[in-house]
Amino acid sequence: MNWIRLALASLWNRRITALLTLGMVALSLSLLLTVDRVREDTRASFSNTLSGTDLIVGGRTGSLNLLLYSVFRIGNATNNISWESYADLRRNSAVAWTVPLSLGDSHRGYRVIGTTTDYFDHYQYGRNQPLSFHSGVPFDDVYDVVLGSEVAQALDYELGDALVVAHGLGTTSFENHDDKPFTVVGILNPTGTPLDRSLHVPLEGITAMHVDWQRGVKLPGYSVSAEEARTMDLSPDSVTAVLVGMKSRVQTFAFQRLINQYRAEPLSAIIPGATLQELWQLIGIAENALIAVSFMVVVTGLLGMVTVILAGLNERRREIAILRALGARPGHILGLLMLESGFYGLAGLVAGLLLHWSLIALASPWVQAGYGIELSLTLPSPTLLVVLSGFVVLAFLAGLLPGWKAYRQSLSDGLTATT
Amino acid sequence: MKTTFWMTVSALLLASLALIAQARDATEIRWDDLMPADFTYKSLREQIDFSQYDLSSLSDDDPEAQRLYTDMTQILANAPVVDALAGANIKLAGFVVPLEMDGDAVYSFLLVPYYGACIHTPPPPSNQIVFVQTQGGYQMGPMDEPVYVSGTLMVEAQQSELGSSGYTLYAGHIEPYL
Amino acid sequence: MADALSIESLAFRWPKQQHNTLSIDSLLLPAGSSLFVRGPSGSGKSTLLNLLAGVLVPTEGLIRVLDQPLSQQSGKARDRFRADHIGYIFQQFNLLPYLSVIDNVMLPCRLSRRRLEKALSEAESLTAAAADRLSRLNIPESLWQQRVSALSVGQQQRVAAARGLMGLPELVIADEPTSALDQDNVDNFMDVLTGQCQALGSALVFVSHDRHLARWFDQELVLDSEAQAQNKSESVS
Repeated sequence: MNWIRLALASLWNRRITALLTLGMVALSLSLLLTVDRVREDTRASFSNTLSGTDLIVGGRTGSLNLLLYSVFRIGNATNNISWESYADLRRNSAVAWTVPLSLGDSHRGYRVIGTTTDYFDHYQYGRNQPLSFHSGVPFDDVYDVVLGSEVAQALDYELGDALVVAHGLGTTSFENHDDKPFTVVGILNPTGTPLDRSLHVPLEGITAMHVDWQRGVKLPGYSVSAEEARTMDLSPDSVTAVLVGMKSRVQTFAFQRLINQYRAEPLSAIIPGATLQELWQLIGIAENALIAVSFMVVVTGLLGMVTVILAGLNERRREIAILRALGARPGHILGLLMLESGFYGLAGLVAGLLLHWSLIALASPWVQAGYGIELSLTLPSPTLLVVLSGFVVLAFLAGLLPGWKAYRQSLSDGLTATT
Repeated sequence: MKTTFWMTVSALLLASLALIAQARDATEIRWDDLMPADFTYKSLREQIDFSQYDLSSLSDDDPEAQRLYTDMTQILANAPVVDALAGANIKLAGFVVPLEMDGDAVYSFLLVPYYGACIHTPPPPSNQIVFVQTQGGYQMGPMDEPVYVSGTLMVEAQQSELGSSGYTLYAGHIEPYL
Repeated sequence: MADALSIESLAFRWPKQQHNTLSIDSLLLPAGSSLFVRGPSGSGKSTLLNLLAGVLVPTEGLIRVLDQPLSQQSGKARDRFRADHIGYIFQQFNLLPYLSVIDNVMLPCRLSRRRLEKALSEAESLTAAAADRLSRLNIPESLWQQRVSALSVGQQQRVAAARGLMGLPELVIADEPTSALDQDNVDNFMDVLTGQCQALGSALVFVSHDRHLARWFDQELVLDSEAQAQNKSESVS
């Protein structure tokens, strides 16, 4: 006797209720899956963005703020580092390499970073992965630009194309540096980090753009052409942040202290890993609350399912009496109901996974663009997989409650159930 | 197949026993042991010519004090190591400052004797900081909870003009301190 | 050949009751013969049915079916016995609404290996055996794949009879199967049911309040409202 087929046929007979119940279970599971996925991917995205950098230095500001704007391009700097301080920093014998960054400009919503060729030599992401070029070379001339992979793809740029940089960070700007266009000389390979959505120009290029600007405004009647600017001294006055690599990691703390106590200018230095960990600890409470709520929703879904099965038992007394008359044991009846609840669990899990993946697929581009977090379409983490298997087992066991009731009912009704 | 299964189980059991044994065999050391016997603040004082400073009249804000502070920091940043400990299997308790992370897993970190940096005291000297490489990612707890790290301690030379070196620990086993 | 049914000093009382719901001194039903059980409501008819089917156990006395002391066996054994040897027909709503007609008919053979084997001894496949039964009970083939809702009450009852007779059960128990039928269908149903039971050698126990049906049966048992059974053993032919 194929009890599974019988259970499924019985459910199909009550399909509207069954589908609604399935939907309830699936929705609750997809919530849990999505919350967990967002949490995992947020951590992965953030920690993958920067690797191999021992310290980040910026104008005096909060450590989290410095991490967010310098590496993740979230938020803004409140202060810059003077060129003199940067030169002094670079000279220190404990320093192996530095990469200066100048932020504040944009091109059609993508951030423009002024830097040196050290960026392409020393910047690493993921697990000590260096940058690589899809096509072209690092910048050489003042008006050269190297694009992140997504910028090139989204705006359809190729080597040799010209583009104009805008002032400020919005998608539109009423002030732009259109008299000084830049030429694309290189396109980087995708990294899966905010770097893909950035444009890289030399520090001198940033200075050249602002040569005829004062306090954020282009002065009417005073303009310097691109060629004229080239002839001027374009060494920068200041930079926004500096990535630092130490010769010996154990000297990191001492150097950090030196920078934080630097008398010539107020500066901040952070150890990226430690600051990131602070960030996680900060939002850890919110994350845990969210996970706890998701669990409760799943439990609610399970309870709802049991209630639906229980409530439907009365209508099924005749069905059960027929099976009893044909020789089914009370144990068979119990098993039948557990198969039903188990089916809800299993099918609910599959439906929940599909729903979760659809949600991720829909939300992913928007989350990428807005927050720099890459949401992945993968199976849940191993811990969660164990929890989900536990859930399916629980769903089967939850059938014990209505199953037991039906068992007792079948014994007392005998063959004379009147419904 | 049954034999393969049991062989794998025994292999795993032996491996974990070996790891635990290694952790047990590890000699527990204290932070003091990482400093050579002759490294005291007294010897530190001898490295700096204090005659050029008038300590009694210096306040915290004085640029002179700043220079002195910088000099001291430089020295502390290049503190000598105990070469005898190179290659030793040790166990040391301390606080974790993560460096390389992948999601929740930490792949390398700095182990330090205390949590948090108080701005009125200098940071730990370089022979009181251990650079730790983990075997596979380590799921760290909150930064203010100390851990025991067991593994092989190495003394690595750095390329700096001052020719000093620092401690690196290849961790086999990390567990909470409490 | 073993007697289909033998009852001795049967008494049944619900746990909290003072008097017996049912009491029968003795009853013997030979193999392949038929018994008509008549009585008003409250006379213990449903209790008798449950006892004969092995769902209930008597407070006193013994029920033997096919020479097996059914009333003394464990619940599990009684359920198995029912699956193997007994066909049951309800008053109405006999069929599972989510299976087709022919799937309903095949059910007893899915719950009992013995009945499956017996069905396969008469036809090439279970489906063929079910088809045969349905034809003999005058259910047109066009209805076999339909759901229960497509059938009239009369047709449903005949399908129930076909199901009850699958796999050659030695005993068929029918609980007022004609109460829901109109007069024309009643005669028709009685004809095919008793005809098929005789042809297949199954004993039939038939409960009803309609005394006019007695003429189809070999024996009659009357239960009066005091739950005393009078065995009227009238031979009717």
